[in-house]
Amino acid sequence: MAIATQGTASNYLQRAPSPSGLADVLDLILDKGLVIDVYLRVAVIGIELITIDARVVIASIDTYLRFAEAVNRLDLTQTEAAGLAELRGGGSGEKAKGALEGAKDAITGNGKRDKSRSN
Amino acid sequence: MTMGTASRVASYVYGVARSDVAPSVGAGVAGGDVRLVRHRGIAALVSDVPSDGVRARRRDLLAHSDVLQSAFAAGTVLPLRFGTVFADDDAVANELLGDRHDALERLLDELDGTAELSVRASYVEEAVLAEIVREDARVARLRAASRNVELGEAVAAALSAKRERDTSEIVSAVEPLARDLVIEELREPYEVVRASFLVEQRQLSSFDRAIESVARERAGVVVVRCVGPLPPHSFVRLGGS
Repeated sequence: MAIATQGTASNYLQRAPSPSGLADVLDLILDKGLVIDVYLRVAVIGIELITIDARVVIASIDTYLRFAEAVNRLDLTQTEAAGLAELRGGGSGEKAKGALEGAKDAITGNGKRDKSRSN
Repeated sequence: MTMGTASRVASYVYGVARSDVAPSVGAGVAGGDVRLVRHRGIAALVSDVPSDGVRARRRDLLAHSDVLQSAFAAGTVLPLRFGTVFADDDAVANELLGDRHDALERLLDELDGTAELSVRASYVEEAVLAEIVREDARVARLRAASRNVELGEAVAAALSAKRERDTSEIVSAVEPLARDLVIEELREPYEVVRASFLVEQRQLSSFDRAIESVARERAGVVVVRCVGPLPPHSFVRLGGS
């Protein structure tokens, strides 16, 4: 199974009429679906790598530095032109406080990091 | 009837449908042929697996999904979670279809004519960061001053505010067309939304138009991926579970 069969893709929307790869399928069939008490549950081996609970960990120095690095890398002269078209206000300054709060919520109770990359 | 006493096989179950569903074609998990186990008007899609368990290999996971997908093309189907195995077909008939008969039938009725659509959206890193630098004076200042920790923190905050807006834009664009929805937790820093919608078949094209138009508004900054129509994986719940 390769590219989304008869799906369509533009630069802003990809449509796949049916799951077109493991990434589409994993959450649906490992986390969802009816759970029934049964004789045996198949051992799901090697899948943890992908389904590992990697919540967005935003509030760490580490992530801050990564964001900073990414922002510093930006070549703004290149992106400026594209951006001018959609300058539609929406002052982001005053939203920052609420967002931090949100970030905190997203993080509390879970600091798990993906460290089982390979072995 | 299938081989009742073949040595050491068990019955892997993909999902439950009405008993007039066409048996699905193609191989299932562990290469087994898919058959139906029927009981009082409902049926389980089943194939043999070794009774000492099977591993979840890539092709097995895809097979589970494919079997459900092709049954779904023919009618309503209730997906089971990957890896559900009963001792044999009798156990499937009794313990699954028998013991839970009415609840399963009710669920089939409820989900008739619906489909799940899975929507995920992510930021294009460079584009969203450039947007933040343009919109957020503080970020621009910190960037110029090379104050990296504060800069990163300000970017994280701005990104999170932006995400909140974009998530709600996307969700509210399609929510009116859905009967139910599940919003998942995000897993990657540049993800915008991860959600599943239960949509009536007759609303599918409206849903598609709505997702198209909301995605177009953020073209270049956000990429939306929409998978489906799928069997209602995220919307099958038997009372209590």
